[in-house]
Amino acid sequence: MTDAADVVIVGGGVIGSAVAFELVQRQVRVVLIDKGLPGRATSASAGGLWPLGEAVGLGCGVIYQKSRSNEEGAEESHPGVLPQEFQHFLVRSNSLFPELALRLRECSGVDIEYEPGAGLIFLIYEEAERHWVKELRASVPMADGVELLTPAEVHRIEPHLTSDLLGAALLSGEYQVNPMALAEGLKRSAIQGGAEFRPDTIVRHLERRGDRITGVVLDNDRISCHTVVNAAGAWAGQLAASVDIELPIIPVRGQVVLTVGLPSTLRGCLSTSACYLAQKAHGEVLIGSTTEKVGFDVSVTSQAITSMCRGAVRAVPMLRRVGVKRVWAGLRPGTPDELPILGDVPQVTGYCNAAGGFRTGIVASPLTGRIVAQSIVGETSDVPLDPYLCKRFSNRADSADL
Amino acid sequence: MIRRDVVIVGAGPAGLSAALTLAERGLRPTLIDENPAVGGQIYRQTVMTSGTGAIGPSSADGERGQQLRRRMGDVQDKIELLTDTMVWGIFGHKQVAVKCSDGWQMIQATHLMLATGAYEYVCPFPGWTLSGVMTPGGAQSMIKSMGVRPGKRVLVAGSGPFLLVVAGQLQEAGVEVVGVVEAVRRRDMLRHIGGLLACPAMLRQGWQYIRALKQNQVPLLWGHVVTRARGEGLIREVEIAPCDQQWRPVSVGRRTVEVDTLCVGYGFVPRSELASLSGCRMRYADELGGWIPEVDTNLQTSVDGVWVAGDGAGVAGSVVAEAEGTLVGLRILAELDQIKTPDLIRTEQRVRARLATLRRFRRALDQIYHVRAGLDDLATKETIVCRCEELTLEEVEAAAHFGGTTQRSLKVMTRLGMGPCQGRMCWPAMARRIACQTGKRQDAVGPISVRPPAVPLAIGDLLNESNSLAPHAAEALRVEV
Amino acid sequence: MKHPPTTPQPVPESGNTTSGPSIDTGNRRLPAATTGRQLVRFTFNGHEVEAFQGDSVAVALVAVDQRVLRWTARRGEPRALFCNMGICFDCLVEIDGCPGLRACCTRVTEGMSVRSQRGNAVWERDA
Repeated sequence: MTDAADVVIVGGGVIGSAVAFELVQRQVRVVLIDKGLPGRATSASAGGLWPLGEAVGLGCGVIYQKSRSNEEGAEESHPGVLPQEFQHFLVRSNSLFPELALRLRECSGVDIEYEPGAGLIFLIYEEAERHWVKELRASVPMADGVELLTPAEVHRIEPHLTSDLLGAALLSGEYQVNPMALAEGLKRSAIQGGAEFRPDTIVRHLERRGDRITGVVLDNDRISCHTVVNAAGAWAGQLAASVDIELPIIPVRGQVVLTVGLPSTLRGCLSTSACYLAQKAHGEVLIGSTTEKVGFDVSVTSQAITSMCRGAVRAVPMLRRVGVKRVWAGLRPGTPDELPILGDVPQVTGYCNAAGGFRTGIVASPLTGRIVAQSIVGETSDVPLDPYLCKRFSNRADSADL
Repeated sequence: MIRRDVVIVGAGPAGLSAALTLAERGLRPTLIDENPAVGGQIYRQTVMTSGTGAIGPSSADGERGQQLRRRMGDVQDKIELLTDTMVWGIFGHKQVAVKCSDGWQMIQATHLMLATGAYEYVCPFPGWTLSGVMTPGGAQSMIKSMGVRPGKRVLVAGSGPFLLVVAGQLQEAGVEVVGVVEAVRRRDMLRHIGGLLACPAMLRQGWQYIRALKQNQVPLLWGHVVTRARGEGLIREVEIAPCDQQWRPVSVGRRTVEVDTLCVGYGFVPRSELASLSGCRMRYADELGGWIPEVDTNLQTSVDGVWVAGDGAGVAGSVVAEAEGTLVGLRILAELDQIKTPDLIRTEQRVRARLATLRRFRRALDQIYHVRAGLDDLATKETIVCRCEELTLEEVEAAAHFGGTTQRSLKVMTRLGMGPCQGRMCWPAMARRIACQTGKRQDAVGPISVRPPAVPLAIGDLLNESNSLAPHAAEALRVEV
Repeated sequence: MKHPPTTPQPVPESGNTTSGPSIDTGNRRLPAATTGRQLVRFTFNGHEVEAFQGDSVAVALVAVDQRVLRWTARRGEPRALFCNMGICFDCLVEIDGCPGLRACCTRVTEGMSVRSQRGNAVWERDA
């Protein structure tokens, strides 16, 4: 075990592993540290690769928006649409998956279960929802990829859907992956490429000397390095705070329900105002999710379980008889504007954020890994990192004061 | 949400004793069990009418079971008995979620007692998934409860006095018991036999089991383990080998025996999932079978108002379970009524004294029979270690190579424990193996991370909160997908 | 799908009668074990089986020497009753169109149709 490296990455979820994967290809000596705390977001994700869906708010965003508007007592409005630049980021990242799947399989033997399917299908139950979709298509340039279907048309694609709907919005080309296998494949490939992996290891705090981050401090050990990458997910804010770096990450809990394995039932991923459903490669259907700000509490609640089950049965009635295998929760790393926080910070050198993946971490992971790695080695990238720098929050705060 | 003063989960010896203790003194406990009848595993009620339920030298168990049932008869209407009722989760603070006939119901308990018992520990070996390989307890309940023999030619193997009981029952039921294979070596057993003198009656009972086997010419092989089972789909034969003090099989002296059934078990593992879901602090106690909740001298856990008793709190057998159940009943009574009559104080003292004696006996028994590391050597790389997900040892070890050394990381990397059994069958053996190989302590390797639902239910079962606690109809088909 | 059901491994005839007419209940039951108990007829993979009130599906099948209950999803291996207390989930069968039920926890009822499960659960029709 080394006590010095070029780069130490704190956090071995999908983002940390993607950064490690990209760095070893650039001949950087990497130590990847992971504690494996309960509630890591990578393990609670459905693995939906929905760049357009998330970008226009029809994927997990619909649920988020609904619960947000319920909280604030606001009238239901447009689902959260992400900035156009980030929409492009997600689409570009998504396009990297086919090749990545092959590479990871070759490199590490891991099958990330990248499953092209019928696409992402948003079920329209109410007029208001149909109205949203129409408005989106009219106002958001990328949303012309959203096709409106009649009930008959959507049944041809998904025969097990309820007939009690007004129609659906189809986003073909939006697929899914196994998020845990993705992280595992990236991690193992990084290890094959020379990265050192320290499992079950917690970073107590970063090591700061003046305005330089010089390494990480573990329980009985320290590792010095040129750059520390903060990929600590929901805990990234805490890690940064350990050396007085501000990083506005808050945990946002998502509960999920997993069914027993069924033969192929859903051809695409489904999204409704109450839940989303994705049938995974082992036949299990993953139903999610909630968006709750409850700190680091990863327990599950009977209300969430009931509500997701109701949502699932409403969309796919045959699920009524299907067994529930397990219910658990993960903590998304939430940021104030729902965009990731990447790159350096003004206060110190030797530190790089790879944080705030919130609800797009999985689909964004390949490109995130790449541009963070490029930024660390000083390689020019055709994807700008500037919009995701942490300083955007203090800039806005400053301008708010004016 | 329904409220109840006392909710007891599990109607085996511990749960029953607690319920009876409370009911006999005027309280009205709610007693929940997933089975159609009370009695747990050991006092499984027989469906036979001809009274052939009590078979063999374990008639002492039969008597105790009858006693409990008689007491039940006396206070029947004072206990809210919910059989065929499953507790699928515990939420918030002692909110017990049960599955009912028309949905599910949440019960807010003031006092929650968990008496969920234990299940048998079988560690993986080649051929253990063949048809005809089962647990000794599985064979026992088939005979005692339904009068069906598990096979014609049976070998009983593993470790623990329970093997002697089951072998005797099989033999009395007319099954050809080709032998009992006990991992503990006779000399290691005799070395600790002094401790067993704490309970001469139990020691005598044990000796009676051994004598009965001798009289029926059933060979008892100390210091041997079953190293593999062979067959094509169905078991055809087993290989037995002598083992060392650590239960590690040696290469010489192996022999093959033809059987059509193998009953194999190496002790018991506490079912402590509900304690985990209740938020109790857990600890690993190898000699008591695995992960159990931390308790004080009153058997209250780290969560106020959550109590545990019986094998679910640490495997110690049915007699201890009864005493513990009685103790918890008395303690809950004291807390609810806040009256400490001299009679109650005396009763409690008696129960505690009995427990102290019993526990001395149990400690000696655990010293003799606790699981040894040599069993890890039985599985080969092709052996399936996760029965549900059909994972081989090789696949799990490959993950360990990439840092998979905790339950959580292995689950994520290999799906170990992602099957319907929720890791109950695979994790205890894998955890011991990993702890041994890495030198980590069990609490670093991790217990099974418990998540609802604790029992199988369908999505449809979770839609509606029911209005009543009506359980399923007892004899009808239980649709439990 | 990652793991389509594989071809089930063959199981020898002896000790596992998956074909043939009504199966003999004779030799596995203790003497007088069925006295006073009502006869219950159910089918296993289409073949009639005689059992008695109070039997679990798993034990009723052991009683007629029918031990293999299902074939696994990944390797197509035969599985039978193992723990007999509802913990191991090896004894999963399909009962009256509903898959994934534990045979050891389910009591036999008259006319029940029990089928072996091959691989992942298949539901006959929507709820």
